[in-house]
Amino acid sequence: MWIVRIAVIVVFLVLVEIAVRTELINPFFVPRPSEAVARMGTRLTDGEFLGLVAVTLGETFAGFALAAVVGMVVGFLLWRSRSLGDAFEPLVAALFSSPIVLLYPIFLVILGRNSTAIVALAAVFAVLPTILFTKQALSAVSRTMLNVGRSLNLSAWSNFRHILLPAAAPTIFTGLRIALTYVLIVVVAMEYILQIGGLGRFVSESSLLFRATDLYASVGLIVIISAAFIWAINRLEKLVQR
Amino acid sequence: MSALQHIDLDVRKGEFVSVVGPSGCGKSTLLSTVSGLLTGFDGRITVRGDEIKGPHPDVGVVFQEESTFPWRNVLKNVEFGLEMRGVSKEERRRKAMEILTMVGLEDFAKSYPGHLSGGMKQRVAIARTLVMEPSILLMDEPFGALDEQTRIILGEELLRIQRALDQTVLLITHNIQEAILLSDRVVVLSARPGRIKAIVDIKLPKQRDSTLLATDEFAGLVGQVWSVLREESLRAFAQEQNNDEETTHA
Repeated sequence: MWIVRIAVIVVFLVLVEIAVRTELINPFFVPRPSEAVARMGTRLTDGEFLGLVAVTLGETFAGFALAAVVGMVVGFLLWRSRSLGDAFEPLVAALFSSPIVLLYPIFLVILGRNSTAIVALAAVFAVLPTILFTKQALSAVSRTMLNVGRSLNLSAWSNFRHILLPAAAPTIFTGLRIALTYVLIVVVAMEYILQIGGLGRFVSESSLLFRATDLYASVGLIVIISAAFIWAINRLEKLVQR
Repeated sequence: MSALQHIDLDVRKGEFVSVVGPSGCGKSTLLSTVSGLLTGFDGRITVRGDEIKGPHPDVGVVFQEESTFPWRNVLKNVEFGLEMRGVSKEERRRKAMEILTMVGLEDFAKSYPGHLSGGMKQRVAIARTLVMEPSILLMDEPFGALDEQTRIILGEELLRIQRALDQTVLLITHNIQEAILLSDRVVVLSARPGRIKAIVDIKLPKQRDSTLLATDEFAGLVGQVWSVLREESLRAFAQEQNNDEETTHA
């Protein structure tokens, strides 16, 4: 399967390479993929990218960790207490479908034009799917499965760790993957719009200056970071289900 | 309105007792109370003289609904209870494989429940309970979702295991033939609130199999149980219709 996935990407890049070399696509706007990849390499080795990657990674990790921890705890509480759940779940769901990202000026005014504002906005946005999916995941765990644990006289902790958590994990982790996507979008978009911080700023700068090769090199790097995060989340899911 | 009333039932050691009754008569409630999962009722349930206040370690429960863990393979599903009790890895592997062989799933040890049929999943659930070697086995319509053939075959297997381990079994079912084929006694509950309407002794040989289904003696017992159950089922049916009307009027 891995081979197929990689092959699809390589074939696509080769097609673009051919299209650019034959000038089917204007090389001024789209660089040759081989060039962009090479540029990514040089920018990483000459250190230019390292600082940017560190900032973007840091913001993403902080925003995601906050959203994950707070979201799972709140989701658990909404599940645990029926009245809390009935009261707040619809509110969270309503917020979830609203464009919170447009609130960024408020965050800037309160927290300043800095990474803290970006992390806070990303976390607020991403905490919503985490809460909703956690609540729904726990509600969907069948009573019968929990009764299996009870009939074996399991402790509350064992029941949680070995039945409730693994049973709810697939849906919770779907929420976490959505949360991660939101965090990355907010982080990169805010860096881009505000011209501060890491790779998003570099993307914006490169596009303003028509440096297409740098632009695609940095966008490619963001894609790689995103894939790495998703990989890590999937590994974590496997661990929980043991 | 209470689900059950005036239930007074003694099950002897090594005895196989089935409970049949019209739908909604509280059969499952009866099992929940005996398993210790349902508390807060009036009355006493004892196991060898000890009053039940919560799940008892000698009691194993097989549930009606799908209860295998989809994130564990068949072997690890069966090992679950032993693992939670801290039994060593080799020991629980050996015991689990033994039971899996008994229920005919030894070739599926590494499969995940998602890839198994409903009948196989239910066998995994039964194996997971049997591996704990409970001296008392409570089963709530364990074959409810299965087709007729699988139901009969699994019933025979269960009987064989029960005889081998000399277990005491309380089986809830809505299938009269299954109840008679497996049991030493069949308890018939009345329509809601469930009371014991009749207890039918099944005087069939201890060692038996499904070939009995074709005998006159078996047909006689089915007729005997059904004559009691029919009346109650009709009453339960009438109750349901009344309830429906009440809800539509309300």
